[in-house]
Amino acid sequence: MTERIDPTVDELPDDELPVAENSLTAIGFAAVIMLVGIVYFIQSMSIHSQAGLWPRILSVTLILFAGAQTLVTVMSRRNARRAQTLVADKFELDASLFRRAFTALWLLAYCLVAQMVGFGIAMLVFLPVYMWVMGFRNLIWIVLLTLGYGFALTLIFDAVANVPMWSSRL
Amino acid sequence: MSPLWDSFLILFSFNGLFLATVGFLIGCVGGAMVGIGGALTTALVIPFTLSMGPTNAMIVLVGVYSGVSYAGSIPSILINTPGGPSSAAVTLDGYALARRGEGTTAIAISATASAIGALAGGLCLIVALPFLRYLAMAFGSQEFLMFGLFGLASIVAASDAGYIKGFTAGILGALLATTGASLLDANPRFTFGISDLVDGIDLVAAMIGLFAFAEMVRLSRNPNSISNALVGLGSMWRGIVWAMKEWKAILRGSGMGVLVGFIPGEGGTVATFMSYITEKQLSKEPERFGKGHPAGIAGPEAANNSVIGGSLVPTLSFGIPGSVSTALLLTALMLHGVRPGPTLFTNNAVVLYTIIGSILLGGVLTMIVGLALSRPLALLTIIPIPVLVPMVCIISVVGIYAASFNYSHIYMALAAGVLGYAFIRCRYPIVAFLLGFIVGPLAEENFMRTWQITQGHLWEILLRPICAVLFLLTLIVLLRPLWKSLIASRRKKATA
Repeated sequence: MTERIDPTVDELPDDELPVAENSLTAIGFAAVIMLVGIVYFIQSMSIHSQAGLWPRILSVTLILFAGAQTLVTVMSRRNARRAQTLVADKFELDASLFRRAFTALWLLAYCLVAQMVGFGIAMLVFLPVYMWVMGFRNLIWIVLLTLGYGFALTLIFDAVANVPMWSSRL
Repeated sequence: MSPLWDSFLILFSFNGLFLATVGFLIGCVGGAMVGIGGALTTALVIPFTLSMGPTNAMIVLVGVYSGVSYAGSIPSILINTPGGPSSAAVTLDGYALARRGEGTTAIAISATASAIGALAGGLCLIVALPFLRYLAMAFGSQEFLMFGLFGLASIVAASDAGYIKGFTAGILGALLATTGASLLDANPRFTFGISDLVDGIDLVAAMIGLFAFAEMVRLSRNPNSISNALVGLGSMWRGIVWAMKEWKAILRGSGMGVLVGFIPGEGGTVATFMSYITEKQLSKEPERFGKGHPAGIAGPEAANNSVIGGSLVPTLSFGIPGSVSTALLLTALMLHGVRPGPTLFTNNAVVLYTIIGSILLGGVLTMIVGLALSRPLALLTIIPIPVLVPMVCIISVVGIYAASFNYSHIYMALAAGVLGYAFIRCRYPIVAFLLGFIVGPLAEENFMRTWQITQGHLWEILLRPICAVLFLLTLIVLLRPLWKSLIASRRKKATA
């Protein structure tokens, strides 16, 4: 049987490859999911009607599967360490990480600011800032794209879907 | 008037044709943009359709689906970059043909085969319709419960990530879907004192977060445009003629697409590669494959587009999506208050016929609009990422708000984005999570009914024939990969 290719994952540059199965990130994520299962299970115990039955079954199953995944990754890490094949977890502050972190923070900031001043006004600031910081330095195009995009969004959302694009009352 | 006639009038009215064309064009834009793809495009369009009626919404969304399925191949052919995983097979011969100066010819082959494939898929859906009527009477809560489990098992088994991760993702989705007011007594569950969670985790927010936000953060690492070059000219008419000469490949590809589409969890990617491999094996000149053989484009493209009709069979008849895009269509149906499943045939026949009609119309649009716009669409792949990412993020944020007019849903989407990104990095299947999230509430409802009917003796449902068959199928689906790996390891030992 040939190995199935997944271009969305397999053809990424090195810095965006999925984390190793025995990395601390993989162990941590599996443990967090197990923790979610535990929290939901504890909460479901306080539901005394039949409404708690289904979440109880699901949370126990999740604890088992996520627990198994945590165990598998921990064992794999231990075996790799014994065989001296364990690749050290890398965390480098490179340009790629900066770009991803900036995008995530920019998105969070946009959501927070848009709630206070409105989608349109926040967009007039955040859109050109993102383009400039991320390396698109053509000022004329930045202005044209910002204004054009603002107009298009107003046309689509404000006029058609009744979203108050330029109001802070959201 | 009959539902068939009603849906015909809706679809072929000016409004219907306009909406189908708009949906198709949007799908083409999303499909041709590498890294955007069908799931994200459909997710972005869904909020706009919420103010429409279910029939108009389905015309738009099936149009988007058709457009995406076709247009994903355009960057594959012109710049050797697939618009989505299911368009990867076309790069092999499509790009080779484009490099020979036959780019438009290759696109024309793709459009012709796509159109025929889409029509074949739609016709197969029509053939399967009478069975839906039968199933409407044969399916009760117990059968729905078992089919939900079967669907989840199929998705998990088809996932590359492995059983444990697949099940973990699916169950996590189902568990998070229990957040909010209980279906049984309307009492809030797992809200942790947050009043915004009483209504549950919003499906649109979860979907956009998982797909759009996670993907945009991932894509943002690239400082350049997705692509910088356009190659190829050729002739549209030559492409149509070459495609028609490969009618056997198109028919085989269509058949494979429909069959693969029937199986929940198997998407167009499997069908296209299956078709490519088959055509190469059956060809009298296999050495020409990879160097621009028309059958290497026609077969996979027909398969990719016939999956649409095939995958809608489990989606519409049982509420089990066959792919990410059909999972989103399922979401849209539910958001419009249309309940997928056998009852769709009796309760919402107009919507059902409109969906089928839209698939057939999508095939026609692929031929007409697709051919006309194939080259200008490829220009979209040269938009610089620093421009593309903020635009998609902003339209997503406004789109989530437009869907519910509740700002807290935007923060839910951000949280879903973090989860989606973690899923990508740690290689957990997002599709399994989404399926669990969608199927979870339906499964809970049917589980509670079954629990009450059997008075807690759940094993009794296996006495029902359909349940027993579904149980066996679930076991087969789950055990088959284990069995295969066992045989492979024994062979390896024997040869060692």
